[in-house]
Amino acid sequence: MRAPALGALCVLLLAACEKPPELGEPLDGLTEDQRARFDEGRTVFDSVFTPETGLGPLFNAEGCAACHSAPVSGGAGAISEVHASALLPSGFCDPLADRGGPVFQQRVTPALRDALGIDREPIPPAATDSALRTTPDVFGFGLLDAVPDSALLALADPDDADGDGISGRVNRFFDGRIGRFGRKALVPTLAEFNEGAFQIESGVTVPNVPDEGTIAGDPFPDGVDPAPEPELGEEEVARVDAFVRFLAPPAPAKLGRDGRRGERLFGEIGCAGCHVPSLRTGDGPVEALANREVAAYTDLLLHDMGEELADICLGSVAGPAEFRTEPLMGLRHMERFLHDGRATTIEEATLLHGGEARASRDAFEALSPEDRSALLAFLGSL
Amino acid sequence: MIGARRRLGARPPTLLILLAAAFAVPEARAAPPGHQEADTLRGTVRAVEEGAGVEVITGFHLALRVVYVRVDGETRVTAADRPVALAELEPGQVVRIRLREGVEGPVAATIEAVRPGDAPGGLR
Repeated sequence: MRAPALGALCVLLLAACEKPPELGEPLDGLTEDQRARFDEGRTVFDSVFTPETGLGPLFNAEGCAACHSAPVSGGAGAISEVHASALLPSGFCDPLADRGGPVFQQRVTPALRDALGIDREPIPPAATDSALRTTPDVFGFGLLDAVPDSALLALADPDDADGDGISGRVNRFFDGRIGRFGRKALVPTLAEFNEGAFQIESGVTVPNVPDEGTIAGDPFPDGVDPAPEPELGEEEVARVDAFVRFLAPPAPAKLGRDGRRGERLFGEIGCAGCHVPSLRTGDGPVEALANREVAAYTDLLLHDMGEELADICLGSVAGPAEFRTEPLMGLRHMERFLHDGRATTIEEATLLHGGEARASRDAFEALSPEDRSALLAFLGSL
Repeated sequence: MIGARRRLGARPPTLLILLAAAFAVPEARAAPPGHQEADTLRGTVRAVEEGAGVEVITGFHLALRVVYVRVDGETRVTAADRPVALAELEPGQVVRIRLREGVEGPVAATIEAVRPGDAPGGLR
C-alpha cells in the first residue's frame, strides 16, 4: 500500500512543480498536430512582406512581428496606428468605411509614393475625431476567444441595475454579433481579428478581405500593387491563427507579502469590478482551450472611462469615452499603457482612469504610500 | 449622408456587385438548385434612399466596406415581423438582406431589421 501512495504523492508534487509555459510558448496540453500548427504559424507571423509578396500599397507594418515583438513574438510593440470616425449629430457613428476608415494607414509602398506623392493615407475631412492605438500583446487571446458570449452578457449591467456605478455593456459588430477584440471590443472572433489584420495592418489581402480597399475613398492607381489577390492563402492564414490562438497567457510572477496585500486591495477598492480577475472558457473542440480559467483581469465589456480619455466612437454601441476593459495579463511586460500609450507607468495609467473608474481611481489616490506600493506590486506581477 | 451615397454610386456598377458578392454571407449557398435568392448580407444601415436603395456597412475585422443595395417594387422590408417602409430604417439599424438577381444586377428581395441578440449564429 505504501508504494502506490508514495507514487501518487510524487505525481502530485511533480504536477505542483510543473512550470507554466514561458512567454511566447504555446498552451500546455496541445496535441502534436496543434503544436506543429503553432510552430508553422510562428514562421508566418515572423515573416516580412514586400510589395512583391503582398505588402501595401497602404500599410502600417511589414508583418505581424514588426509590431507584436516585445519581448517575444506575440508581444506588444512600439508602433501606434491611427483610427478615425465621425460621430454624427443623430448619434450615428460612421466608421468612414467608404473613405478608408476607420484605420488610416501610416505608410505607403515606394510605388504608391511615386504615383501619388503621399506618405500616408489622409484622414478625410468628414472625420470628427481621430485616435492613436498602441500595439497590444496577443498572449492568451485564444482563451479570451473561447469565453462564451453568455459569460459576457452575465457580467454586463448596461443600466447599472446593481447601483455600483459600473455599467459595462457589450459592443456589437455591424452584423449584430457581440464583439470582444480591439480597444472598443468591436471584433467578434479571434479568427476575424487575426485574418483581418493582414489587410488592415500590412495591406496583405486574404480570402475574407480580397480587395485592398481605397485610399481615403479613392481607388488605387494602376500598377502599384504587383501581387495577385488574395496575397495570402487560406492555409497561411490558418497557421497564423493557430499560432495566436495557442499562445499561452503570461504566467503571473510569484507574489510576495506586499503583492498579496495588493491583490486584496485590488478587489477592495473596486478595480475588480471591471478588471474581473478570472473568466472561464466554454466547451470547444480544442481541449487546451476548453473549460479553463483564464486570469485575464477583464470583463471584455465597454465602460465609460471619462472625457479625458475619450477619442473616437466605433460600432453601434461604443461612444468616444467607452473602452473595453483592457486585459491585465502580461501587464509587467508592457512599456506603454492605456489605449493610446499616453501613460508610461502603471501608476500613471491608474491615475488617468475616469468615468466609471473614478471611484476606484480616487480610492487608489487615497491609499497610504505602503498600500499604494502593495497594489502596484500586485499589478507589476501580472 | 446622401452626398456620400452619390460618391459611392458614381463608381462602376460592377464594383458594387463585386463588393456585394465579396461580403455576402454564403449561408444561402445551400439553397435548392435554381433558387433565385442567391445570397444574404448582414450589416448596419448607413443611409437610406427611399425607393432606390440602402447603404450598408459590412466587412471583416476593421476592413469595413459600404455596400449599396438597390431595392425595387418587390422588395419586402420588415421589422419585428411587421412590414415597414424602407424610409423607416434608420442609420445604425442592423439588417439582414436577402439578395436576388434583378434585371440590372443584385437587388434586395427582403430587408429585415435585426434585433440585438438575433445576430447570426446566436450566442456562442
